[in-house]
Amino acid sequence: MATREAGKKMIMLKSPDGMEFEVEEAVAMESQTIRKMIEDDCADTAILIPNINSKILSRVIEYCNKHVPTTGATGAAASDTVAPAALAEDLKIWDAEFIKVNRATRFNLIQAASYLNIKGLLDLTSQTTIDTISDNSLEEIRSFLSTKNDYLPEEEQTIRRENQWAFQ
Amino acid sequence: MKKKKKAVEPAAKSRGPRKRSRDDELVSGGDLITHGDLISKLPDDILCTIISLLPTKDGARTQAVARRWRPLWRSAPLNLDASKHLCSNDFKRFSLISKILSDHPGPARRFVVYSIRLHIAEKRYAEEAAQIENWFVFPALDNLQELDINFRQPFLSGRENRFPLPPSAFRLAPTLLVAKIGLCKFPNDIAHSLSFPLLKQLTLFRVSISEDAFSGVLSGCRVLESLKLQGIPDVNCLRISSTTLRIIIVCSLFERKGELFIEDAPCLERLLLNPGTGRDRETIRVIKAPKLEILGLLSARIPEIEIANIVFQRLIPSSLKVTICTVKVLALHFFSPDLDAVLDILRCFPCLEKLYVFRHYFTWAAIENVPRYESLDPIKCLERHLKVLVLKNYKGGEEDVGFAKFFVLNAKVVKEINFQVYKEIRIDKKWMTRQLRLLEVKNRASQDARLKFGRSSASWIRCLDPGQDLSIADPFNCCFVDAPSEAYP
Repeated sequence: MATREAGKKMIMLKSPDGMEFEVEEAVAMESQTIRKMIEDDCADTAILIPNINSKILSRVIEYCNKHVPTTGATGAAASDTVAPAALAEDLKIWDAEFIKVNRATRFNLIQAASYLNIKGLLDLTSQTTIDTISDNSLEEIRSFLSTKNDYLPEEEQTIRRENQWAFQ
Repeated sequence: MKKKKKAVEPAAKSRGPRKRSRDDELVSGGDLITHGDLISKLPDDILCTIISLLPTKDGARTQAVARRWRPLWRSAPLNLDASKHLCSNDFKRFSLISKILSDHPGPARRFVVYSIRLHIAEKRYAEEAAQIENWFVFPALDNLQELDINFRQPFLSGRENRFPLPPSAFRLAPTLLVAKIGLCKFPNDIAHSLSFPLLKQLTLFRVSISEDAFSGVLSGCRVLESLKLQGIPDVNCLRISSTTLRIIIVCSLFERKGELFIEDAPCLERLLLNPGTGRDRETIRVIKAPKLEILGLLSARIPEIEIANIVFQRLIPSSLKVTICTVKVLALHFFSPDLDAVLDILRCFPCLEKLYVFRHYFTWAAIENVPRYESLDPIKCLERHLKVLVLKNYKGGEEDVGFAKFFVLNAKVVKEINFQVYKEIRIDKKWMTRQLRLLEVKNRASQDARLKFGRSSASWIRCLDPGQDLSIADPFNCCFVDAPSEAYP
């Protein structure tokens, strides 16, 4: 988060644990929630982001920084027509690395992406959860989600019977 | 949808600051076993999104995870993929689809059903036809976004060849984003009254439809971006005019001789063709496509293709004077590397930046004389624009070397020549050294050129996916996924 070249409007994001992050307005506006605040003039100097701690917020900013559309300032030169393909593929590789985090961080990221309304990040973070739930047994899913089975045995049996096709 | 909103609030409340700070410790502790039920803290609408993206059975099974999860499957948009893995018995599958559609209150995100087979006996056939018609009426399919339906190739039984797609299916037209329809008879009589205001992607695969009905469907699409047509029987002419289409994919279009006219496509960027089986009888005429950037595979198997007044007959251009300046990426398909033919084609595309040459691997013909470039008229794209050349099924024999060497020695601004080496050839140090010597790399025209030798197992058919990502600039690239094993210099 070093200082950037002049002329770019900067926005201060504050996490509830007191950390402050200075980011370019364009980067912050990857979040539809923040975009709306800015457009509605609710963002004077600093925006407090409730519910998202500094560790998660810094990861979110990292993601937005990478995904903000480049306008020729950084990255590939705009004249090279082969660049967008390379860029899109690079981003996918970057995303795959980005999401290699533990489950707790991942769920926090899903929550943050949802609150801040960042579609790309929400898709990315949800997908790994989807991949894990797919093709696993109920017990495995519960253990992966750390969810306790609070059904009575007969209740679970009823659900299994009613949706027998899904358990075959 | 409304239902979900209500349910979100209690979950949102639980995201208070105190809970957060407890999570912080857990995050930094990184303890995976004792961190508690994190996913259940997510709001219902995210969980519903996740459920809706899960495979059908996995989605329904989440009801049994825990109490919190029980109502979610029903409030998540239905994702019903009723292909074989839902139920391998074709006839049981019918009633199962009906059961799921009656269980779920809707709306739906996706409905996929493949190779539907109807009973031969009159009575059963009528029952099943009524059931199919009824599927589309269930509220479960309200607001459907993606429909992918095809039928089993019918056995000849005296009955009409293809199953008529029930008009009730088009109740869903207003919300569809993606429609793939296969092996059935389109209801021609209602085509002109149909409207697909949101449809972005349309595939018609062996669908019997009249020329007039096809035009009717296209004019009912307001935002269509991608169109794939494959094996349309019973017609010998189709016309496309669309102000929104960006991708057109054509695969073995007609049963008999026929013509496809792309009359006016101001936004068309990609025209992707399947050279098919060699029995193709289609003529393709592109009248107006001022933004066409990506074209291929052009093949001798397509008897005739006309683009902006140049007619390519079995790949031979009718004129070398007219040029197509918009095309940046071109893929050619040859039975043997025919340099003269390629050079004539390159003259038609002066601004070409990327050239793919797909070679049929079982043919074997030597190039007689490699022409000396100095003795030819300069070819503009070789002088100024061609940056990437990809050779698929490269064997490194005399004929391949002659072909590739021409580009090594004469493509002035090329940055990368990518050799996709035929699978039976071992790429080792000795082979590489010999290739580099034969290709006269030392005398290359572009000092920046990198030569890459690698393999590709992927089929080029992948680039014919109508759902391809337009942000990936070059669809042919996906056929060359493997990393090259060696590069030079």
